[in-house]
Amino acid sequence: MRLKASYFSISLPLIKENMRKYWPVSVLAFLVYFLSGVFPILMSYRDLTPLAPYIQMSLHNLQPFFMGAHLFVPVVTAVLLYRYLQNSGSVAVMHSMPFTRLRLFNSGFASGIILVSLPIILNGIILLLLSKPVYRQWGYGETLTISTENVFARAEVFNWIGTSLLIVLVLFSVAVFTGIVTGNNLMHLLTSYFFIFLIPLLYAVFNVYFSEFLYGFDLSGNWLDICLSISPYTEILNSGGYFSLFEVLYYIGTVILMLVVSAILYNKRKLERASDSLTFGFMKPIICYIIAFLGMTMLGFYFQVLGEGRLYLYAGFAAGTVIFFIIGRMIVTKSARIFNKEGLKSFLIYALIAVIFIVGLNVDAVGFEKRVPDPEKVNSAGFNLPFQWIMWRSSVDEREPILTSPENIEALAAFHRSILDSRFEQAEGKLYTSSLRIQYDTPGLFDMSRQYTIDYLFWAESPEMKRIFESAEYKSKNSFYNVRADSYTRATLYTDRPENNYDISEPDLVEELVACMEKDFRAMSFEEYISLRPSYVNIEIQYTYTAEGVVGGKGETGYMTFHVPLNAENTINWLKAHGYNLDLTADMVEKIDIYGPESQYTGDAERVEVPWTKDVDRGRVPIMTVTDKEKIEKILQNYHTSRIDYNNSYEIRIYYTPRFDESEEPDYDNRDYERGEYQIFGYLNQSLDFLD
Amino acid sequence: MIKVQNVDKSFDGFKALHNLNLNIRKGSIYGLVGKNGAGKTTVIKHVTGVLRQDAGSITIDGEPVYENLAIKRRMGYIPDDLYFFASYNLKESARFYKSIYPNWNEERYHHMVKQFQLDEKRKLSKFSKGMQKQAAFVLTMSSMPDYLILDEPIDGLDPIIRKLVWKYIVEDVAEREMTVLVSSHNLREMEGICDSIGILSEGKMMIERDLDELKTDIHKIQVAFREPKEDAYAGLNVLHKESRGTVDLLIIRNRRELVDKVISQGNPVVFDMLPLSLEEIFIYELGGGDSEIKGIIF
Repeated sequence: MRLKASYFSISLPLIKENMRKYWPVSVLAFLVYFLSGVFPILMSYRDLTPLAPYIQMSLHNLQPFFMGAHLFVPVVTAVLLYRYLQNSGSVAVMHSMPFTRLRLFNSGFASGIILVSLPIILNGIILLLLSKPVYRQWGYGETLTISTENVFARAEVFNWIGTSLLIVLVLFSVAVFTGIVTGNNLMHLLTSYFFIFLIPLLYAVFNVYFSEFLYGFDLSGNWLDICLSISPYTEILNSGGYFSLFEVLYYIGTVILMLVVSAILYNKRKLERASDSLTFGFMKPIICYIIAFLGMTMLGFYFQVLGEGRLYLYAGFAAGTVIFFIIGRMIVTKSARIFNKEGLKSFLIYALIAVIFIVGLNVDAVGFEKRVPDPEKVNSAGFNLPFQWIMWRSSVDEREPILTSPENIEALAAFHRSILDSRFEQAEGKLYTSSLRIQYDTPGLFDMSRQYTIDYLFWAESPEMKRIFESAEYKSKNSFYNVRADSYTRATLYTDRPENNYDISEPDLVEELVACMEKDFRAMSFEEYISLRPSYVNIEIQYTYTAEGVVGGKGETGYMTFHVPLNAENTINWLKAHGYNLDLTADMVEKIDIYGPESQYTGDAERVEVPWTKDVDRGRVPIMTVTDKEKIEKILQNYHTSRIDYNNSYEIRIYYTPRFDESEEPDYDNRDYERGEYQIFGYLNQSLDFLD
Repeated sequence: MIKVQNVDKSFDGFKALHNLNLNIRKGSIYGLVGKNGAGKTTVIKHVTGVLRQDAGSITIDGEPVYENLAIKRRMGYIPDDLYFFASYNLKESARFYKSIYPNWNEERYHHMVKQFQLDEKRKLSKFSKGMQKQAAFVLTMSSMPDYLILDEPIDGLDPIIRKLVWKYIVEDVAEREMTVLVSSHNLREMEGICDSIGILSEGKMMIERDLDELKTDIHKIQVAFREPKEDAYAGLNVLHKESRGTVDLLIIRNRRELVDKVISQGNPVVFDMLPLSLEEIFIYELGGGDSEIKGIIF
């Protein structure tokens, strides 16, 4: 019992005095929360609907004044409460009074908790009293959409109180820790913010290194989420206002850990070091090396843009190391006299660590680049769709194609290995490339993910990808019926020709259309799936969700789009049967201009001198104009929507006249385009011999 | 009783205290003197429990001082570098002291405020340095300490206030057996008030003795003999000797009676014996070489 009593001992008179001394900080915080959060609500209390987005932003802690207060108040409070430690006179007086060190520390900590929490709790109580149903709205008139989510529910207010308290308490505990290890107020303040953002900052810096040196390093993925979640301040921005249960426990644990570590360090702190930069010797190299590392990185990558090659990068690293090590050393020793044996020794240790780090990255010492997981140990795998997408689903149901069958996981791993074998390097940006992200869910703590740039032909000719795309699992998971749709409400048809834009709003017809799309998708080969040929039409299906697993619940609107390939017989026949003939035929086309490959372009200087005419576009002169219907037909059967090789492809411009019914034919005098001037663009990724 | 035994303390490799011993009797006033940087404030910060020694022990009435609330509640400390809560006035500070010192004497507080003519409602940060010192003294003495630790307590105080401060201290020592440790450079004032003296040099205790004993044991002597004798000072502890013509100037550490007896045996024609003042003892002990002492003492 005695131990317990001594660990948690506090001095009520001291807490009372702290309250008396620092209440203005709490009042200021209260006013910031109140005037920027509660007051606007009171002003518009009769009708809060227009304020719904603001209320939501405030209660999700994305409101700038709230975030400013969260960042400012706990750190300033910690600096004020523990500033007696940073001056030799005050530290002597306070520690000569009838308090133990632990009691002084605990009383300061308890005072801080009250000072930073009270404004949030009071504003939270007011918000709870004011809370009433408020829903967000979008659009006007017929397009008015009302969200089913009550943004001012009590649960939302409780969430705000909880997340805000966690943020300020974690930041306060970090600032208390830095107060114990630093020796003056300025260092306390600066180091607090340095530590609060240190992990995300180091994450960003390491990302820069890994992206530069490690082939396949994935900038996205759950590493980013994990690093941002280390600080509740960055996590709240990342998570959109909510913490998971794990995060809540983790942040509470952080506060307790900081409290315990700070209390231990307070007990060990040498009070005579008041007014030094740092009060613990072990902190000096840490802070100095972090400053040197950040400076080395900054100058290294700054130098890199000055010239090509790694030499500039390394020169920048060297310069940054020297300059920022000196700065760091001066800061931690609070002296300009750092050019001594001890300083040199410390510098050599840092330089050695830096060299090992850079060399380690260069030679991939940990085997990061070559690592492909054993398919048998992978629970599931996924990848994004590079290049042209044929299907798209709205963000509410944005599920990446997850592969769980051993065959598909094996195929993905094999494809991954083939990427490593070929190690594609983009040559002056002349090939059609895209970014591919592969992710494996492995039994360890972290998923494994890699990101590569691959070129189109590598992708299109991959037997492993063909196997995956044509597998039953892939088809099933990407089925149009696998979107948790409750009912299909509308289909919008559109093409890259402006005259084609139709809506089908009868649910039965939309359902029939989706059935045809599904049939075509199920029969589709990999080659058709990844074809660069233009789509016959694009169909956007609007549907309502079932309640299952959807944010916003039942009734939320979802969208999916299908770029209908030219050989999607079922869909195209259904469209034609219902009067939507969207063919582009040779008889509609007046002419096709063909422009040479990129390497044959004239320079910019010449382009501006050539005036715009019907035959000359932006200074580019077509190398050929095709008007022969037979040749036009051949081009229409072969052209693509993207270049594969920029040096060996031809851009084409198709001039056509839309097929209007006589009654629909527009008055060309009042339109931007005349007959035969409607245009669509495309590319021929082959030689022009087929036109001979 | 305050007891410091074999205490060592280093600051980043610099040895501030070296095997230090110090003993302060209950109900006495102990003066700690030493040159600048000798370690007086460091000793005081250890005795008040602010700093933790690297080695040795510091006890008050047999109990270690460090982290000892019971001792600290009975201790008053006025540092050279004063500190009050920002924006507090004397009244607010008194309220805080009252809440943490169980022996707080409200009556004495009001009496002292009146006597020192301090404005209770004025911010302490607006007080002059001397007034701040008076305020610190009022607060500390009103907490009725059994142990009073003072670091340069009369710096910046006018003579009237100094008298008043010493009066309070002496009264409390006499009436309540308060134990006082005081560090000061004002040796004349220390000489008049202290029971014991410790002379500190480079973190070591050079001399520690009752002031009376210290002063009666060390003498400044002028002596001249009709006929110079080789063994005129035999058996005496001559600390310093120089001759000006036939006159010898000496500093001798022995009992007065013995000195008188030995020198009188030689029938001196001139024989003056004076006790050294504390200042002279200090200069003699810490003054350095003989030539420097000659210029200062004689």
